[in-house]
Amino acid sequence: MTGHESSPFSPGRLGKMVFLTFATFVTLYPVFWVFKMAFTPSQGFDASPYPFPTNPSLDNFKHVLFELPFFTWLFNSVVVSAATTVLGVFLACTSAYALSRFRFPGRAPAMLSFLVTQMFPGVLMMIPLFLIMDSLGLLNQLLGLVLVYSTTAIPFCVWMLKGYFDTIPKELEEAALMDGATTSMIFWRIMLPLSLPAVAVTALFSFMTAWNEFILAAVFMNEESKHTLPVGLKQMVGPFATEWGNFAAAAILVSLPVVALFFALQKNLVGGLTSGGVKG
Amino acid sequence: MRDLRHFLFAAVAVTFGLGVLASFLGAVDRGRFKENQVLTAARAVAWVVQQEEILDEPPEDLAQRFIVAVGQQPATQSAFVLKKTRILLHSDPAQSGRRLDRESLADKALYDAAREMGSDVRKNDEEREKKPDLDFEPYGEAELADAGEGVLAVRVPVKVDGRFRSMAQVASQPAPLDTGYPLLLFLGLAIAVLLYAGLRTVLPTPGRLAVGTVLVAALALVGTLSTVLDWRDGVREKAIEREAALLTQLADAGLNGATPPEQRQALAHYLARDARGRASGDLVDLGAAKVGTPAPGRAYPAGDSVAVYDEAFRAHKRSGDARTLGTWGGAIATVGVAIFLLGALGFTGRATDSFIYHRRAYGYLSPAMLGLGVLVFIPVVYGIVLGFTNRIYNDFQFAGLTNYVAILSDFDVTHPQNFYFTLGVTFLWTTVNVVLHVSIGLFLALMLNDQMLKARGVFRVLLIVPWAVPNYITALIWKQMFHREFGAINFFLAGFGVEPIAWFQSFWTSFFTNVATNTWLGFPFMMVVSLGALQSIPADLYEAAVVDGATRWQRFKDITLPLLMPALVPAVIVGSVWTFNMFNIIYLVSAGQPNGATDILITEAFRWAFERDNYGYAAAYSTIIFVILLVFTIVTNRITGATKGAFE
Repeated sequence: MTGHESSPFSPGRLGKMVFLTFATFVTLYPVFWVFKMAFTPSQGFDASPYPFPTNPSLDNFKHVLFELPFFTWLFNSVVVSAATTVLGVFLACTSAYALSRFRFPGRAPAMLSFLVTQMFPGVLMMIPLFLIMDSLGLLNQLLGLVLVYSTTAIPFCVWMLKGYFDTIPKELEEAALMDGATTSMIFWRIMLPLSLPAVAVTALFSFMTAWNEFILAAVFMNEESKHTLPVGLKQMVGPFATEWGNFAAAAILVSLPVVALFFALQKNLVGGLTSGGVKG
Repeated sequence: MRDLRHFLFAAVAVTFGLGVLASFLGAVDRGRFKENQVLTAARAVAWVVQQEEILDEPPEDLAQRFIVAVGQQPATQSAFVLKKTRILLHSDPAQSGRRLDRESLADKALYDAAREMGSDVRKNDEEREKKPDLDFEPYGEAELADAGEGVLAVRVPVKVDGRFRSMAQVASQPAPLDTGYPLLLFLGLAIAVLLYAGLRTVLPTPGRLAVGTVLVAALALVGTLSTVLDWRDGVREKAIEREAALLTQLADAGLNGATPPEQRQALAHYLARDARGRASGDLVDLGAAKVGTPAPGRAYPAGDSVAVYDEAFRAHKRSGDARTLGTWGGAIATVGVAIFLLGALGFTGRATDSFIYHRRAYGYLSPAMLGLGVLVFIPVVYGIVLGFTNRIYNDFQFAGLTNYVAILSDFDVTHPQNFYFTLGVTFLWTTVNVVLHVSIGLFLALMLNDQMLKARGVFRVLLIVPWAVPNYITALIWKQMFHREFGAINFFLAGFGVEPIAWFQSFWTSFFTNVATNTWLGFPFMMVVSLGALQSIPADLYEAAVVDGATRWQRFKDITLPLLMPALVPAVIVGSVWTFNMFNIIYLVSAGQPNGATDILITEAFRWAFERDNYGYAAAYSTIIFVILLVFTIVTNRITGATKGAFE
């Protein structure tokens, strides 16, 4: 902490290393365990705490991929998540830009409303939302889920982005204005490129909202052909341990893309979160 | 003055929102009545066809006469019956009983429908064979299909001799798209405002005044009309009358004759069900004029039969949500129009100028606001309104503060479904989690905040894995790890000679499983936030402190902690709200076991809505949750000023 302790191998640092290794192992233990379940065929179920599979096999993955409608779920989830990300980022960026750069009547209420929506219990909205979606003909439509997800992701993303936009110096825009740029040019050519790290985090959050949500998807999508991955996965979980191998395999397949995305963007997380939404 | 403007903006916005909502409700309602009429007709046909097969001596041509009568109802376009995969009966009297000709162009559509019905009957038959436990009903569930151009087709399979062999189909008359006039009213309002705004930029002052006056007068007229016409009640009342008339006609056409008297009550209830198979409760008796006493003081149409709707139920309905929402909507619309009137010439003008001046800002903001309005604010307002209602059968009726009183005045805290018990559990849950998240996260961040540490990046990446994993997957996995027989945790403990623990059988162990899962899930967020803040603390502060002889603890207490606060406090507030509403973990890990004791407020609200089917109560419950969170946020904001800078 002082930055003055001499070598990377001082006793204090070695102690830290040992502790962190232990903490990391404890943290990752459930993950190992899922891998073990996924690679252990259901006949040879082995529940010992030893975290590695004894006779690895791909049976569970085969079952999940070829005997369940996994690709239908995947297709639906990919479409919904991708569309939610695009729409969510667009909506969040435009409104965050307005809130960060313009002073207009209604600005404070608008920001307050973004904050307050974070507190609405989802249950309160579920049946009204169901009725509205029904009357708009959006039940059992992927578009319906996209609209709901992107609007529920907006408030958090707006607060985060607005905080980041605030840190970009106004002089840049003023200079661009002098050179004859329009507002939309400033938005597209200056603000967005400069705030890529925060935009990336926004995209990640929008994507994760859509990829991980299961209650609304279960309520709004009755048709089996419209089920998303979370709904499908929830169905796989029965009361008996034998089905857990398949669930673990599916869990790995479903988590991989989002974990990969998370790691690709994790460097931006620190900057995006601390300078933006969280600071307020 | 600014505050007043905000208020006016809000009033106009609320008026718009409620108007659109009211028209939605009206459209849903009207659609439902149309649906119910066709459903009733289709079920009646199915019943008659079955009776004809079952009865020893059915009246001559009963089904044939009946289906012709159904086809001539104002609400129905066509009706036909498929018997043993052949079309034998349909509603055109001239052709009734004729077999269809596949080659004839006129028969083509009907023929295709018949083939489809035939395959449905066979499929139904096979499915019921496989799952005999589905045979609890004399009929299969009705199937609704949109036949295009506003035509609704309802098919009901008919079971004869324990097998599904026939099917009845009734199609409705095409209906024009009905959006309800409140929507038009509010669209008109919007167009008028825009028009006025547009004109204002080009017209000289006296012209503005004239145009403004005309517009406002027109709006006032429409606004008054909207309150005078009790539109929604009228529609509803008429729909019930129509359905009663339909049933009476059906009964006259032979439905009563085909029904043994002891089955008439069952028939009435069978006919009066909605599309989801739930009893709507509208209809009390069919043929009551013959077998029972009709409600006094009512004139019945001539004929053998009469369909009696429960008068009391109708009275409930009238005083129920329809009237209330209609009146509320009307009252608020009047207030909105009044505000509009008062401010139209001055305020609207200024607002318009301001809107034009700030059009870029509003332009950028409007897409998100439109989405939030339709999919977040309207549902929430609607949800809050539902908190003042109770659901009887399928209808929401106004209940005042009953739900709130029921929730808040029950002080039997020993019961796990008690509000105060659940509130206590929720506070405990939130506090324990947030404390654990912050302490673990901060501790790990302090460890990682050391430039010289080897493999620092690797540790950091690995430690945020739990954050990246979808939380419903985390929850399901942890639930499995706590499984009594197959879970890793009990196996691990067995290594130390501990007997297998039934984690979900007692409150504290069950609560522990939730906390363990949520801690695993939540500490990386606090770690990342703390690490970010720690890295922004200048190193020379620590150097100066070392020079002054400060101890390690003093440096932490007087430098690190105070400088962490600006980032940590908002994170704690956000984290508290998230944990407070952390539905997935409780719902999926402990599932409230034992006996709902580990449920928190949000899962309890869900259970009231979807498991105990008491939506009004659940809505009131959710509103209380919302108020608690709102108060929490306002108070913490006042104390910490967490969002102070953000509003500038």
